Amino acid sequence: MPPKAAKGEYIETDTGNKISRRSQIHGTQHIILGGKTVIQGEAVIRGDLYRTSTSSSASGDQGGQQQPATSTPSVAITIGRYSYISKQAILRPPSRLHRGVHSFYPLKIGDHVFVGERAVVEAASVGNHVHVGRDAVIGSMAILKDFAYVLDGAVVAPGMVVPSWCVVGGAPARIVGEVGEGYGVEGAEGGMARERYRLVGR
Amino acid sequence: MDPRQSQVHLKPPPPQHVRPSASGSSSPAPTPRAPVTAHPTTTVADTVILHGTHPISIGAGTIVHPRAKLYSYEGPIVIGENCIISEKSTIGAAPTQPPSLLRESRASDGLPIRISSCVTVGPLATILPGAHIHSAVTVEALATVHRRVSIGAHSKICSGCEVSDNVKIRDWTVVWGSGAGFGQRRRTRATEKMSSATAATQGIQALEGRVIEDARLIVLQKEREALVRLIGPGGGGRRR
Amino acid sequence: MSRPFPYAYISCPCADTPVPDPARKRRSRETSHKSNPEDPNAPVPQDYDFEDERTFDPRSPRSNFSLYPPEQLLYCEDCHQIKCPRCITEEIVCWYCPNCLFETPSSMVRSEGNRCARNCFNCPICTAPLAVTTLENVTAGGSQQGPWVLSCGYCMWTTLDIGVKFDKPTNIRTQLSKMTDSSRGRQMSKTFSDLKSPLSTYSSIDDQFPLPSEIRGDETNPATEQSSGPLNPEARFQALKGFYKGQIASTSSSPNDPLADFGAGFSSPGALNRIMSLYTSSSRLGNLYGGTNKKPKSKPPVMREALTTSEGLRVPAPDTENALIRRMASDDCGWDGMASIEQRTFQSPDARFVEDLLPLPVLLRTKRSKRCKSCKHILVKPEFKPQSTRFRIRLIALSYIPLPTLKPLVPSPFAGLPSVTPAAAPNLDALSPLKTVQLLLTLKNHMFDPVRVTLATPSVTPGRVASKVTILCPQFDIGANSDVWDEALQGSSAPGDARASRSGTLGSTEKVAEAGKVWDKGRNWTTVVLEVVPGTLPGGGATRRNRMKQHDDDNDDDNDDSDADSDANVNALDWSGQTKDPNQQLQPDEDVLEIPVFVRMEWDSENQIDQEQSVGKGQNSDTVKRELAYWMVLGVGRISSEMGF
Repeated sequence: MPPKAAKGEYIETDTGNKISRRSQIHGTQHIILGGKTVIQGEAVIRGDLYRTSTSSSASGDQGGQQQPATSTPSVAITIGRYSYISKQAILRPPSRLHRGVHSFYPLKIGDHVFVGERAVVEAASVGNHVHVGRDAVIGSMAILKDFAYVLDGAVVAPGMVVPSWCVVGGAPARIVGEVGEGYGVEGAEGGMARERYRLVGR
Repeated sequence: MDPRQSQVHLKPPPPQHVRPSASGSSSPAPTPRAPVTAHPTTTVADTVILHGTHPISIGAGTIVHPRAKLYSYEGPIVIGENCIISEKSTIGAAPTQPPSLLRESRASDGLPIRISSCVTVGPLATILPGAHIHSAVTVEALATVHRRVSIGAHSKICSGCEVSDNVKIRDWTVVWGSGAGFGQRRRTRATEKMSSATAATQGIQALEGRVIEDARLIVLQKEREALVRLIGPGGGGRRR
Repeated sequence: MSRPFPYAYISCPCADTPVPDPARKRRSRETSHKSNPEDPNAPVPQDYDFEDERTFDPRSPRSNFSLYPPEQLLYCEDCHQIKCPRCITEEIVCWYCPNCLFETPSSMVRSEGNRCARNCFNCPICTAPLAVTTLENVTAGGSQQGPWVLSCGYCMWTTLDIGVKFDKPTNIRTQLSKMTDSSRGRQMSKTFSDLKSPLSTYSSIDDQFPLPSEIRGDETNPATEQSSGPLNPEARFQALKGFYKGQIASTSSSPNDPLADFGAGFSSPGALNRIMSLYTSSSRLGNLYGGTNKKPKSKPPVMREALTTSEGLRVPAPDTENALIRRMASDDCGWDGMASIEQRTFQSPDARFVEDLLPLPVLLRTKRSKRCKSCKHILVKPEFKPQSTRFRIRLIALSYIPLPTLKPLVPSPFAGLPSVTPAAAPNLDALSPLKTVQLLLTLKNHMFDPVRVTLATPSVTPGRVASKVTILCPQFDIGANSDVWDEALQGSSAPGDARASRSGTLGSTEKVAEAGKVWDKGRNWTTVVLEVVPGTLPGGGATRRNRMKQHDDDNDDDNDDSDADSDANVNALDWSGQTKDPNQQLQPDEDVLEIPVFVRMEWDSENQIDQEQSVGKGQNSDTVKRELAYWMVLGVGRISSEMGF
């Protein structure tokens, strides 16, 4: 990797997403970015792990709950507005075996979410204003509710639910505290997303 | 990966036109492409880095996710059947010196990495030369397996844990907790019919602990099947 | 949770001043003017005589208890004060399970033992949540039948590790408690009836030890159930609790509290009175011991201990300990087979091995409303539903006090320094000693009234590592938090410029930090420049040492008694540079550069009912002049030991 980014490291899309040219995005057609989202270099986003309708038809024993939409590409990852995916972070949709069929489930990330460097996120859903620290691992099908705060290096176990305003840390992660009521106020801790976005690419 | 190429493309390049070795070939000192032998049913994504001087062999049914890095500078890499090597994991050690100064003097086998069958290597995990990983082991995300480590079958190295040099881990062991030091814990998984005071009073006919592992391996098998559909030859990957 | 540099903490005044009075505030205004470094005729730091006028020392041990990140602080509109978590009381709004996020009605909380009554369990090994999984799911395709287990996705523990499986995937807790309290359901009624056994009502010593025949006779009926196994810990606890309740009731000397249970009998003020009177009145003492023979009523009440299994007594088998030790020493147990202390904390006291550990129902969490401790007004009231993140009332400090943000000013060509290359931002984790750093302090006003702010810092930071601090513009105004559109209407070009320069990269090339002028200003924020000269660390060199000795006198937080020795050592080892003297060694985090800043804000607010709180009247009677003063601490960075250039 070049240590110094070229002049225009970031590509700004119509909706204001700033995406590093060095980001490693797979399956772009299965990814929805809400706008003003930042994806830094070497971040891996696995849009190619989407939920296939062929897998359901192959199993043949259900199909009631699944959309028969075969033509439109299914969404693997959605990211809201003003979210920030740091360097070398990995976003990959969670997967599980359900009724004998192994399939990937969409990874939904809300607004104003921060994902730290080298974090691995395999959650089912990440709410708004969630902070995922660096080197944190969010296990498969975990749910991070709004304003959840994952400390650096925490390992959120698969399937864990982190309630709103809770701080989790450790391996495996436990609830170790709560953020203050002012968390998420614009400009304060948890509310830096716009500022962060603005400084990218300058 | 390759700076020039990725500046041309806004989106990551369509997988078909980059070969695993191509990423290295454009840099001024060409990185040696490792001699790779892979089974026809192996799925190796196109953005996988396979560098090194020693041979790399990948068994049948194994899936190597995009952006995985396999370096065979210090010894050959043997990956067994039905493994899953996740994105950005590093198997082997990147060369510490420029590739032009590679040690040719090393013994031909060097420090081999042996990964048996049904092994899962998580994202951003690191497996250093000399590691011997037995079958059905799980090395989770961000875990590090240091040099000359042996990990027994059906063991699990949890996220972020490190296994220090020369450590031998017994079969059916779970290494969990944080880091490498005092934060780390171990436990042995149940393989047989376990009994406890609770179960005894109830007279429960216990199942063997093994069934859990069997179930897990079946899930793994299904995950591989799903992955082949997604990143296999039709879905963007490529079989050899 | 330590924060990365730079950060800003705000000190809640509750640590030092119980009630701020206007007089004190006025005094603080004077000092802030005096310590204002821009005021040329102000002798800077002398007025530390008053207890409450002392410079806030972020390193003082007490500071730990008053410094909070701004978003954690609340504000009471009635007291006109910042409220930290110590200044408030909490009331529980609802209980919910952090795993399934369902609410538990408060009536159920106690009976469920503060734990989730559904299917939520934590792994007894690693505390990760357990999932209910079926074994047949994978082995037999789609059928959801078959045995169910709880399994940990993290450490791969399953209930099969303790040989437990479930017949249905619902009501796991009931199923599990049925298994663990195997005998409970059957025995419970009997246990309680046994508590009313004639044994427990005896209160005299003679009657307390029944004849052996009586014991045997009494044991005949529990003997049958004893054969089915001893009581499990919960049942035993219940039995013991009931037994002692009975004992207290029967031995209680005063007839007034026949309903005495544990709480009333032993922890009530009445009980304390009884105990105290034992010591104070000798006549009572005489009554207790001398009057034993008078009448049975005044006999010393003596409690006996549990004697039978039904009362909660448990006599372990004679070889239990040996068996345990043998098992510990055996090969198939080993270190990994033993339950750790953390694991045993929430388990039955008999659990020694990992096989004894049971899944733990998830502990409930609470949503709480918060009240001001002094005036009882509600400061925070969250919505009732567990999943809601909204508040009915939320008076956070950030709505009232300006939000401080600190940022290094990228050293563009400013006074005297030739700019060779566009220097990068200084590394805040390794600040070079004696090299000036400029920082941008932005205060953002969230009130709808414009605010006048006065900042004051000591010219030299307290502690051994003395860094010089200058606020180039200590007095400034911040605009009101008016409608966002106002800014847009005022001028389209202005915001862009402001933002660019605020980021410190664009537009700052010609800009030089000037004394007495604000760096930048926006709709509701103002940025001023702080100039900091980081001090040198102990053990850095002779020049530094002289300076350190100067400040040794102010430094009153530790090792006063060893001052004499240290001085001698300083003289003796001055040239060595690597002394072992503890005074020369760096204390933990002593290299962190933290600047105490005194903030005083004044504003005219709408006149409200409580005029007595106001400091003085504004120009017109509709507005009231208010002011608020507090200390904040700016964490700039860590000073490195190497001298920069």
